[in-house]
Amino acid sequence: MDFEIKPKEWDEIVKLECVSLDAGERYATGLTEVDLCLAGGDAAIVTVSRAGLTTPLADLCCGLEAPETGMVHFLDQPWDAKSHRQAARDRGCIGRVWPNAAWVGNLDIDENILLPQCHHTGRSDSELQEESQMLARSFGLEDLPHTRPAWTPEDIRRKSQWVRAFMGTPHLLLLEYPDDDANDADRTCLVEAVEQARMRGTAVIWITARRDIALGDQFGTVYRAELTGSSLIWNTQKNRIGTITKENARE
Amino acid sequence: MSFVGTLGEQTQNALQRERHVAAVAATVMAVSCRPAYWSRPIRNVLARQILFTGLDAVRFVGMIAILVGLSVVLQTQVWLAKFGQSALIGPLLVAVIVREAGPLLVNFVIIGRSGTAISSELSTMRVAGEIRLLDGMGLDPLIYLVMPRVIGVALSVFCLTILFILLSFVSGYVGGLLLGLNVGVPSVFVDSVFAAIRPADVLNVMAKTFIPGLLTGTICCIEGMSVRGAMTEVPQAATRGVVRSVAAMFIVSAIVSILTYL
Repeated sequence: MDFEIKPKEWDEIVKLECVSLDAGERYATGLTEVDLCLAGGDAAIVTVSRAGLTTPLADLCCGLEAPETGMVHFLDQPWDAKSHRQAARDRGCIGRVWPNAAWVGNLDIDENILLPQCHHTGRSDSELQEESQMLARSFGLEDLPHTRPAWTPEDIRRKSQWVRAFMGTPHLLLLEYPDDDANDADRTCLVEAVEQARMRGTAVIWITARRDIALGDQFGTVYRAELTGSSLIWNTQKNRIGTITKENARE
Repeated sequence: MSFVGTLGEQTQNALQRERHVAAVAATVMAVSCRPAYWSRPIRNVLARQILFTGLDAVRFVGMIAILVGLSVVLQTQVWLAKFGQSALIGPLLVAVIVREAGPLLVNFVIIGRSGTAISSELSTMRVAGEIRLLDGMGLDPLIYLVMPRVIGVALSVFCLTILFILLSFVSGYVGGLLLGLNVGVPSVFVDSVFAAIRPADVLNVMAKTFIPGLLTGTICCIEGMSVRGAMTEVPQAATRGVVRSVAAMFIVSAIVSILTYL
């Protein structure tokens, strides 16, 4: 699909400008002077040394953490300039696979999956059910699990997280170790879903310990970086902040 | 630090905590008036809260109301009859049951039953990272977790108090009949009670149910969400929630009682 026909409203979905944040107690590693800019369809694959290594990158991108220095923009506006309500609404446009603490324990998995969409959109139950079941089937689930997260097998929970993340055409996908312990067939399904989302104009940040994540560049630029210490070492020069525009992304 | 300094610091801290509670309660009231905040999931949380706090407590509150009716209402009838003051039955029962015992006992039940549950649930969610998860999905914890719980508790306390008052009167009267006491005809009893109820009593009941209910919900939510990350903090948060809610209830009750008689 041609890059130009993507239904884009924003040139930059997410932009980190010289962002630094200490690891603190929450993360295994901090970030130092990270620059990142993703337009719709772009993807950044951030490789870390081991699976499960907690970094503040995803939290920064969705405004859950404020950087100590630098600025994080989402949909052309810094998080700290958004009102509380606007920030909550914008987080509703982000699909996320959480590395841990991914479920509300007193809701069933299917309720968990539909919760953000029910809250942020006026879509009908039947419409949401239809989309979630379609996504569930695409990931190899027969139906949405109607059980509490604690009583649901790990692989079902993982796929259910994928379903929740892809619901409602998010502007940004934050995938933190989404395919840990997944088999090759499931991983292929996930990559296909990511590619389809990028085709619709979704930007993707994929944090992984794997080095074989294969995303195509037909829908946007794919950046690869390695988290070394607290620094992101980019494998592509043109991802430096301020240099990514629609024009040079096509180069 | 000197004694006066310590006292001043503790007073300041206490005032700051109360200001925080007042600010959260006021915010909850303000946002609850805006329909835009009542999305489907939030309406579901409200319905569940009313179910757990209100409907599930009906049997227990009903049992207490019947027992209070049998002891207080029945005895009042007996002693007033002995002194030839049966005409005072209405005003006395309204003063004892409607203004004081009903709201206080129901608030106690709700604090013990639901206040602890709210504090424990929210603190467990906090420790498990679920509150952060909700925030990350764009569900503001104040809107999704606190608002429906506070409103649900306040509504439940009011409705249960009305139920309590009705059941205690009925059980007291029926108990008197069954024991063969001279309780008079039902219409006289009902007329006597209704004649004794003034507009101030209605306001009194509303103030002593809605305000403590609002404060109970708010305090328990604040205490639940104030834990930092250890499971051992969960029971402590529940205890703090109960103690502060009971204190708030007595303070509100005393103030409203004084205002009623001014």
